[in-house]
Amino acid sequence: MKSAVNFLIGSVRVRAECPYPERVMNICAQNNIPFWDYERTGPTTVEFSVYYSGYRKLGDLAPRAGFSIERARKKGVPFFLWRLRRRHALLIGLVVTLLAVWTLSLFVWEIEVKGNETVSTREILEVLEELGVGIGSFGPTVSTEAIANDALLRIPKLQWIAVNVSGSRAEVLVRERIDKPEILDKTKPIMVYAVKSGVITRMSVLEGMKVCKEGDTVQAGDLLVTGIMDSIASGKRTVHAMAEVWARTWYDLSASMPLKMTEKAYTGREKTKTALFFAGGRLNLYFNSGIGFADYDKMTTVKRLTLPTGNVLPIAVVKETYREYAPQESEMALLQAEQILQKRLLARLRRHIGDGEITSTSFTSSLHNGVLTVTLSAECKEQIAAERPFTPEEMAEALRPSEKKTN
Amino acid sequence: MKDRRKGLVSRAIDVFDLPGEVLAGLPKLTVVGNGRLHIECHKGVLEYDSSLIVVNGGKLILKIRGEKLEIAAMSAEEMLIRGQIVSIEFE
Repeated sequence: MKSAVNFLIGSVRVRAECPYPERVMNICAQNNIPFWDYERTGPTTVEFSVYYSGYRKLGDLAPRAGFSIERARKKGVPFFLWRLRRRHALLIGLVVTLLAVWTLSLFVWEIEVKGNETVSTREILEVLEELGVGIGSFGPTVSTEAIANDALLRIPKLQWIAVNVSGSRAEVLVRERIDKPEILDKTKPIMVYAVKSGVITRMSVLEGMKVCKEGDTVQAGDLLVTGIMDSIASGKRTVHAMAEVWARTWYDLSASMPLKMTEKAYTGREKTKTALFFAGGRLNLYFNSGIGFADYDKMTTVKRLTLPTGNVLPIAVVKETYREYAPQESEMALLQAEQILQKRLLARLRRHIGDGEITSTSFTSSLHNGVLTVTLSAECKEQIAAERPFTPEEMAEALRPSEKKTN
Repeated sequence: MKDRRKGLVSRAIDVFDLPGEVLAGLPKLTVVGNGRLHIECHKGVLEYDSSLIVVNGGKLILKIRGEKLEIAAMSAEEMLIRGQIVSIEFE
C-alpha cells in the first residue's frame, strides 16, 4: 500500500556522499524529511529514497551540512506525466476521451423498470420509447414529468409512474392500479350449471334452489342450482345462485405416437458467430454469413456486459452456435413408448381436472401400422359447478310454470 | 555540585513519579519481541549497518546488534528499528 502511495506521489532515489553517512540520516530526521530504503553503498556513500519536496530541501541543506547529493533516479506518476507534457497527440487523445465519456454519459443507455407485476416491462418500455425515452435518448431533453403524465394516459393499468434519469441510466418506477373488487349483485338471476358430466356425490348450496340431488347423473350444461325461487309474496324471486357441486367423472383420453422416429445425431461440427448489440443496432463480428450445414440446431446466447460494480453496459455480446446433425432413423422400445404416452395422458388429465383428484386409472394399448395408441380410462372426483346468468329464453321458461299454476 | 544536582533530579523523579526520560534526558525504549524497537528522545544515529546500529541517546549510547537491521521510520525525536535484534547494549 505504502509503495503504491509513494508511486502516486513520486519519489527520488538520492545518492549522498559524506565522510559520516549517518549524518545525512540525522539531518533528514531533524528537518522532517521522510526517507526510506536507506542503503549503504560504500564507506562514504549512501542511497535512500525521498519525496521530491524532500529532495529539494536536501539540495539546500547539503552544501551547508558538508555533504553532496545527486539524483540516482526518479519514479512515480508526476515524473511520468511530466515526461509526456510535450506529446500533444496524447494530450489531445486524453481530452477527446474525456469529452467522449462526458458526452456519452448524457445519453440514456440503460432503462430499468421497477414495481410492475401485471403490466409487462416490454409494454412500459414501448410506451416510453414512443414518448421519447429509449436506449440512446439524449438525457437532458427528457422531460420526466410530461412523460410520466402521458405514460399514465397510455397505460390505464398504471396508477403512478416516475421516470428518473441519472447520467446514462433511466429508472422507471411504477405502481399499478388496484382493480375495484367485483360487487356481487345478489338479486341478479344467476344459475349454477354443470360444466362436466358425472354423478353428483356432494352438493353444498349457499344460495338458490337445488334442481338435482346427490346420486343424480348430470350431463355437461345441465342446471344444478337455479337462481329463480318461489316467493309467497310475488310468486317468483331471483337470486344469485352459489354452490359447490362435487361429482364422480369419467374420462377416456388417448394419445398416439409412431415407434419409428427420426433422431438427431450430432456430427460434432460446430460454427460460432459473434455479434455485438449496441444502442439498438447489431454489429456482426464475422464476414461470411453462410452456415454450410444441411441440418443444424441454432443456439443463441446473449450476454449483457456489466461492470464489476454491477452497472449494466449498453453492449450485449450475441453468440450464435450452429451444431450440425444428421437425421437418423431409430425405433423406440414398446415399453418405453407406452410409459411416455402414459405420463403424457396423466399430465393432460391433471390439467383437465384442476383441483380434483384421480380415484382410479387404467391403460390400454394398441399397436397399428407402427403407431402405438394408449388410452387412459380414469375416474375422478371433482368440482363440476359453474355460474352463469340466465338467458332471456331460460328466464321465460323458468317463470312459465308458475304463471300456469296461477292460471 | 553537578553530582548533587543529579541526585536531586533523580530523587524528584522518584518522589513525584515523573517521566524520567523527559527530565533526565534519557531515551525511552519499547521493544516488541525481537523484531521491533521503538526509541523515543534520541539524539541521532552514530553508526548504521545491517548488523549494528549505534544511536545517540543523550546520556547513553545505545548499541543495537542483530541481523538485517533497518531504520523503518525516523524523526527528530523518534526512531523505529526493524530486523532481528540480538542485543541492546548501553554505554
